[in-house]
Amino acid sequence: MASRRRMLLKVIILGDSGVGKTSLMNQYVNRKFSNQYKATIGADFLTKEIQFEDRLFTLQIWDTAGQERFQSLGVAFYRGADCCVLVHDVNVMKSFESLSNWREEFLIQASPSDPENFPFVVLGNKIDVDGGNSRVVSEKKAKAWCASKGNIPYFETSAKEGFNVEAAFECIAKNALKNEPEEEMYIPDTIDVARERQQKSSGCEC
Amino acid sequence: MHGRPRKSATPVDENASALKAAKIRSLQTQFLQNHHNNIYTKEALELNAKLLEINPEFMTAWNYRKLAFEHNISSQSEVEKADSDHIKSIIDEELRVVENALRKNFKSYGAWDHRKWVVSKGNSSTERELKLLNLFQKQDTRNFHAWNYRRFIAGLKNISDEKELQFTTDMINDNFSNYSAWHNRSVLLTHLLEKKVEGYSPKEIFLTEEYEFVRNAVFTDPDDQSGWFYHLWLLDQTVKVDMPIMISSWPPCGSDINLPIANKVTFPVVLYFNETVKGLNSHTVSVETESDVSKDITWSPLSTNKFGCGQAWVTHLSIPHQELNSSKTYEVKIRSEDSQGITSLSGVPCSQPWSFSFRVSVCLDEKQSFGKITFTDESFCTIDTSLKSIQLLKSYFEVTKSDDEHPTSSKWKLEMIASEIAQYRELLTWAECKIGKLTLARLLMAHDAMMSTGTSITHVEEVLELYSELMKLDPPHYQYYKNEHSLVLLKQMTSCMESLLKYCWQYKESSSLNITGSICLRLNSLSLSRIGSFERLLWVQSLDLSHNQLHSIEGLEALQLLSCLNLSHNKLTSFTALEPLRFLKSLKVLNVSHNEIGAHTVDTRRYLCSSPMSHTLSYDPSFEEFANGDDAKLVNFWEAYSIFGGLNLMQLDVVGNVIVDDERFVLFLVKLLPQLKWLDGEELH
Amino acid sequence: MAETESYPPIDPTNFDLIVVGTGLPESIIAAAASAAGKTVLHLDHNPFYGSHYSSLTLQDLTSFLRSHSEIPKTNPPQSDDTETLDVNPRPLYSDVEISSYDDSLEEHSRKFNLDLAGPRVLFCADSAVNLLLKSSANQYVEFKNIDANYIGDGNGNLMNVPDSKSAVFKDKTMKYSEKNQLNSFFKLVQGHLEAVKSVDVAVDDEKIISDEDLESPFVVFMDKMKLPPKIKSIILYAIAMVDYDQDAGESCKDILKTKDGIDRLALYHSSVGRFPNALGALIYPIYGQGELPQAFCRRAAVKGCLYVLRMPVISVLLNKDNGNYKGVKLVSGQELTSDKLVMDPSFTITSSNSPSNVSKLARGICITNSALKPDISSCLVIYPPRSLYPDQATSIRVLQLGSSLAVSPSGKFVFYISVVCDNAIEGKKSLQAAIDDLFSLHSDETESKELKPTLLWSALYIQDLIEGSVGPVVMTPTPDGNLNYNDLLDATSKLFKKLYPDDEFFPETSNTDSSDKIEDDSEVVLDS
Repeated sequence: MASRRRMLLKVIILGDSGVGKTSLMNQYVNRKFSNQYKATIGADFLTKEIQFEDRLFTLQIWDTAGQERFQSLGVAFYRGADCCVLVHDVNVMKSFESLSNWREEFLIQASPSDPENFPFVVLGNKIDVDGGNSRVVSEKKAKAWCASKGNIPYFETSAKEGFNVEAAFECIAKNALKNEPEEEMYIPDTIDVARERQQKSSGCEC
Repeated sequence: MHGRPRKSATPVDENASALKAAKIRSLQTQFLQNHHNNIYTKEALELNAKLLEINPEFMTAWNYRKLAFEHNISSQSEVEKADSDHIKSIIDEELRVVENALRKNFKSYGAWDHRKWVVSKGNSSTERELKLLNLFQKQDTRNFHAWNYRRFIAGLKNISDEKELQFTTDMINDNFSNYSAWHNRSVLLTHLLEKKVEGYSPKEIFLTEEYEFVRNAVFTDPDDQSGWFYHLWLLDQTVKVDMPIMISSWPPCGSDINLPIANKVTFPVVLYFNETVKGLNSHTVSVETESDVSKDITWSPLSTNKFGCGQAWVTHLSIPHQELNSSKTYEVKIRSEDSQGITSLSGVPCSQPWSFSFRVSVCLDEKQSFGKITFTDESFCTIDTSLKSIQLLKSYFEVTKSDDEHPTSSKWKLEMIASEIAQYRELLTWAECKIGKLTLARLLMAHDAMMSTGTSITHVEEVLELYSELMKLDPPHYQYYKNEHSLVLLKQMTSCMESLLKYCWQYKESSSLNITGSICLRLNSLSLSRIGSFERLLWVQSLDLSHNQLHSIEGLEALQLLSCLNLSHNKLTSFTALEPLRFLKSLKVLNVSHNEIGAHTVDTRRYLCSSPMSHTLSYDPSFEEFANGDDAKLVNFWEAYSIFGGLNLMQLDVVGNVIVDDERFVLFLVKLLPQLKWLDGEELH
Repeated sequence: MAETESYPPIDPTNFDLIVVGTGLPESIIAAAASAAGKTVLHLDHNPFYGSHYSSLTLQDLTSFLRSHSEIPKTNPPQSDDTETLDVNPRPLYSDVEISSYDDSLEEHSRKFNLDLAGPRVLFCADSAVNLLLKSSANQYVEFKNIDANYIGDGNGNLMNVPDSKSAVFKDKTMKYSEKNQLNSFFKLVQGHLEAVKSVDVAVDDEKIISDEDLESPFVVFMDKMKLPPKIKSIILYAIAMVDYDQDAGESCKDILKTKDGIDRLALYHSSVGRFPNALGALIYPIYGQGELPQAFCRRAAVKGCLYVLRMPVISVLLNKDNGNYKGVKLVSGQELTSDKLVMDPSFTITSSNSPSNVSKLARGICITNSALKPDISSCLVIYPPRSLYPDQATSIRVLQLGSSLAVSPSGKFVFYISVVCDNAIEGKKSLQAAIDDLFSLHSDETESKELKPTLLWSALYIQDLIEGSVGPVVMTPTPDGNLNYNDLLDATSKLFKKLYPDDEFFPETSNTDSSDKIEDDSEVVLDS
């Protein structure tokens, strides 16, 4: 159903390994946090129903499934994204420096029709660590970078504390919604192979 | 969805279902209480909705909703009345409840009906209904509720028939195995053809396209019956004569008839039409004799099952006593006065005026005694073709059909049917297909009917062969094929004078000629299960139908001259089956021996005959009087009473029927028929 | 973006399985092994997923074809010792011919997703769809219907393939008798399959096709059923998708048996109507066939498989003691060990002999500025044997795809053509014959009255056909010449069974990780 497809918003989360992508998703969708870090295994995508201006949408948040470790995310991962979330760890400079690469990679791979205006949201995560004492990426620095890339919204979050996560994702959802289906091809009926037609018996033919 | 069987409960479900049952019961109790107390509050309606969602087949609950709807609409405040949104919200709520019910059971009559009811109140969007239907019908293409509802909405919305026709085309293209779509197509086309909408008239062009369209279906899958049914409808559209026509009469046009004075001064005039008609009376049909025009003529339909209409109509003319003169000939002219007044059952008038005349003369009756009449071969000799009666008979084959139809149209029909015949003959060479054979048989008969008026029938042998094959191939419908076979056979036998004469015999002894007439039509031992072609048999006085397989003698009532009838050794199962005899006032000799009358206490096969008599006959109190004093069982003889009571039978054979095992029945008959001289071959004293 | 050098070392260094190459068979094996709980490392020297099964931009496709058709300069032996075997690329492509008549296409290079292994589709009921469902990889791919199937008569006419009861009904070219014959044959096959399935053998005995007939050539059986040549041709080439001329008698390389023909017919028919909004039998993944290996790779990743692209393997390490496989050495110099190794067939290991006489497949990719028929965005065209020229021995299949499948910029159409052949000359001849029948040649405006699409770009190439093999390492098969993946999937699941005889090839997934996707769809949707 055309409408069904349009109600689904695909959001992808990019960023170096260990910046807390999976944790942010989990905190937002399941309100859970695990202190134990392991490189992502088993995370696929999470969905959450959101309401916006009286309409219900399904936010589908895609994790990298660990394929980012060796920069080995395939083009399929990027396709059809309505919003791209870039995450860095405010305590790791390298993760912030990678944002440019991730953004570029996204624009090449997803090749959105209007790259200038494609919605990104940047999250500076782990602001809780060590009471903020180990922080190396300042809010100012991050905001400056965001401004230089076309005023990308910026949020400082703590997946562990749940701080600002809700607000960040609200913004993500809104931006995803604004990103109108970029090409006609998203709208017509696609075939969901998981929905099989009921077998019809040859019995009654009335 | 369509064809999805309901799941049977698994043991695991049982606990759950017990719980559910308790829930339903409690809901039901509360609901009935509300219903009883006329409570139509929001809460009560919600409760009702819940109940309907569980059990959409609960009619009382739907009726309650209707009452509540009316109540809430009429009792709304002035402010609310002005607020169209308020009404809309009430309606929307109703539609929502229906949708929930349909989700539970998409074939719920109550739910569909309620929707119709609500939508017909106006104020709801038919556009939305149509969208909904499109969606629904895509999922369940053959659901006839949806198709019915579609017609209803299309009517409300004034959607053109053409547009709806296109919808059926699309649905059929998608899957032509869809009775509902074909049926709807035929309904729409009937409208379009009737209204002579541009593009659908002349109907020839359009019907040709339809024949091609449906041919794709039946050739692709001859075993799929839906297309064949549509083809049947098309054929009917093609051959049907659009108006009633008077096709035969007694006395026949231009004939001379001779009546014995002593016996009769009245004689019947029978008009026979191509279909059942109504509206014959002294205004629509005039009878004119040399001396005076009869004004007070009453035309009565000869029909056992319908009031005020019939295929055959009769009136009785009498020759005034003072004019009885053996030397005089009376010219009688019968004419349609107001042919518009005579219409088919669907109201199409008989627009062709018609008239015919005949001459009547009287002769003195040589007083003869009544001897026992037999139907054995020894009683007959081959017919003398110089007989005067033969001349009369001849006039039934001299009728020239006026060219009442547009010649190009009838040429087209003939070509169309001929081409269909060729197509289906080919199909049958490689496909063993019952309904294909039946269709071919019908096409061939239709072709013959158009070709011949009086000329010999060319395809009959092939048709008879087809029906014989069908009887073997399709035992469940044996009786139908058998009946068709019989009718075709009769058509063949009556197709021309020469062929009919083969079945006409002459009585050796002339002693009872005043009763039998000079000719006996012997259609015995032909394995007939039905009789027809009455338009060629209106002259028959003596008819032998013995040793056939008749279940019914429907239509025989048209033979008003019939005085001797042999129905022995047939399969008549009740007196009800003899109902046509009630109209045969001249009947003197009847043989119904060796049938199955009385064998079935309840005649379950009544539908093969005309409708049960109780519908057409009012109970005659004199029967009670008549049966008074006798055993209450006599009530069982009521049927016989109603048939024979009005007849003056002189000879009756009933032996060999279960009913005569009851001795009282024989006594009953003797009492009922005071004129009876011979009963089962015994002379009565 | 990042260069290989910047990769951190791979950790851990020991795996149950190392898979080299991300073609469909390798990806499925990686996903299946991961699902079975194995630790898997999946490597590819390309910067993208899919190897010879991928869908590439116009530019990438061109360079991929070129680079994989050059005879590589054999690396100087890295070492002489018996513990290492050098891994060298083996070009699968040859005779690559790329012609461009419209330079503006380059600008839209990224809007193209061109399949290396086209033409390829899925049948709604085929094993690829079932495998996608079983592995849950279906959640990463979306499909669309192929709008129409045609059979070409070689004179520029394309006729609809009457492939179902309703298609037979609607067909405007067949005679009534032919309609009856074709549908009767469909019913005969259906009746047979139902009778075979039914428990009560005695009842439908007469409907069962005899064993003798089942073993006979399908074409002989159809003759016995008195099907005219036209109908036979439709069934054989446009429904059963047979390659070789079945009427060629002895010289036919691959005669289809009746039982196999029946299975193919059944596959086709069960495909029609399997999914509510798929009207025909065939579906195609949006963004190209290259989505499928990626879907399986993501499935593998979700189950813990480690992914490293842009990482060539330079040699295979052997066990000192017994000479058995031990591990691989990467271009980064890192050595990794594993129990098993799976490699795609575009590599040779010095010790193994490359197959001498490989079969060939001619493939063509064409880009035009219009579709074959207006309003038909995607379609399949079959040229049965002998339809284009007298000695055409095999059927030629052409798949047209439009921008609605996100494989081309809007207004451009992509065509894939393939034909099995003995050699490049024969293969190219077939491709060219189809191209000539379908397209008009660029430039000439006056000629375009025929309304044929104008050819803007084409790539013709010959691909080696190599089957999978099990040696010291497991080698996966190259893309085959079939329209669907059935044979490849069979081969792949067999390879998996060889690797892990005790493990199930994708165990039935518990619903936990996709439970939010399951909806009760049994009800009629009444919402407009």
